[in-house]
Amino acid sequence: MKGVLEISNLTYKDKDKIIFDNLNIKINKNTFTTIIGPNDCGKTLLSKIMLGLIDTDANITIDGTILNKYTIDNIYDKIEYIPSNITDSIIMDTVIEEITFNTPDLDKKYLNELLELVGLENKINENPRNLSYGEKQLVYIVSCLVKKPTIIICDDSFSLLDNLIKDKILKYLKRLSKEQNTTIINFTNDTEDILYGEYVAIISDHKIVLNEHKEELYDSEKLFKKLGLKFPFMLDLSNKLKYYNLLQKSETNMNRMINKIWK
Amino acid sequence: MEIKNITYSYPNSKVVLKDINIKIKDNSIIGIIGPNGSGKTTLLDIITGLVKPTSGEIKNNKKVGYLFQNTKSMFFKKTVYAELKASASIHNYRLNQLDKRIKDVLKIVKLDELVLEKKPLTLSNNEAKKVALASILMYNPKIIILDEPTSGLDNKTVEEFKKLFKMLKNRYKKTIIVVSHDMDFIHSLVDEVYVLNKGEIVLQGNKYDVFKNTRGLKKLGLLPPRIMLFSDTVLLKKGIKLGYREEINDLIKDIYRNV
Repeated sequence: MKGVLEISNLTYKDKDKIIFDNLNIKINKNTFTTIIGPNDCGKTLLSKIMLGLIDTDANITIDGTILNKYTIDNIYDKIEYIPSNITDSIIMDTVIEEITFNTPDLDKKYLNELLELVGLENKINENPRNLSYGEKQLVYIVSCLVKKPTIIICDDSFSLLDNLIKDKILKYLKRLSKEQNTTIINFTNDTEDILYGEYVAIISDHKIVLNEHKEELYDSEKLFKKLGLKFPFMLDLSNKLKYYNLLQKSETNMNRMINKIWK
Repeated sequence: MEIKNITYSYPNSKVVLKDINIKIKDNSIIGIIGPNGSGKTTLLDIITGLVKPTSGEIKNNKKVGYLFQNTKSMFFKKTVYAELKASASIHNYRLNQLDKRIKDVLKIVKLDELVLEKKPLTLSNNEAKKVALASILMYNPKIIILDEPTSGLDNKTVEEFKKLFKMLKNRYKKTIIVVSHDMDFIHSLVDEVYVLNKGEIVLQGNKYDVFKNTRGLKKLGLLPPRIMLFSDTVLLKKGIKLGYREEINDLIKDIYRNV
């Protein structure tokens, strides 16, 4: 499969402290990859390096183009980045202006679909500064998605959101990756997120220690524990049910799991 | 502490909070949950006196510490040491024993003393939250208010914080009010839960009673703790009553008995 984003030989030091030591990662086109790792392993830093915001000696290729100062503007047309806290970056006076700012080919139907998805449809004429932290985040997320990027990089973007909206958005991103030729890269502290995506990459020990399909991780409780990461609830439950012979095969969907236990 | 008839609206008359009444028992942990934009942070701002309510009053004669959602906006000094010292001096708290107090507080939040030399704005998320909490503990408030204390933290630190808050309640007899959308966190931490929606309290009570109402919560856009959701889905689909548990192992035992 073709890599849509590739980083090779990334070494990065903050003064004398090694953050990345010869890190390599390849993200395949139109996949949904969740990137996890302990705090301070460099998740935000790596997301910024992917965006070319931080200079390094590494080779970074995005959609077939080598990332450098000459190509960066073209590459930026394809990528949207959703940081964890956007509170300070509001510039317009209504939600709708904020969302459609810098969106020349606005798809109104798609915009309405997104507004409805996140429940902002009745707030489009409000001043975004009067919204709560979480709602501001939703405004930003819609403004990114409406531009129809081919790559979306999320850096702990959903930690301020209610879990039901977060669930909806992650499912929507999953659909975008399957149906709309979009590559999703989700850096997150919430290991439960890995079940929405297809692939999981783990940063530890200054490099990517693992980049696999999520199903390869179903038995990796020990690895999660070793890295101080929480093993996702449904996987934990599924494994324990299997151990007690209450379930034959791993299952991560709650409804299907219940149907299998009580046939 | 008692929150009495608190109402708050913006100058443009948009109502943010409507007649909020909460009685908080000493030495308990209260959780406030609610969808995005329901008024949670505004309520905390009013409780701590940062924002004046349009009407109503807060009855409280105890010292309050407030951990902001945006932790780094709490810092204004050049080093962590200066930050902690400033926090103690504002509240005129035993300056003569400053260094001992700093040592004790760092021990409580499990931070190495090396952190004292660091610049507050260069701290990692984990460290920043801990330092902010330490600066609150410096002046020994009786009531601690936490706005989204787990956002941006990894699971290991979340677990550490859970233990820490429980210890603050049990050993140091603090009263804690915590706002969070992390249901699993709230579920395993608090005694009582208040659910805000559009500025009003719509559900309240013992955490089990509130979380058992998974359909009510879902209508408000809140996903109940996964472990409660599981039991409730089993009841709904199969008519089998499992207990409402906090630990997976207890849930497994229930399932084992019921297949």
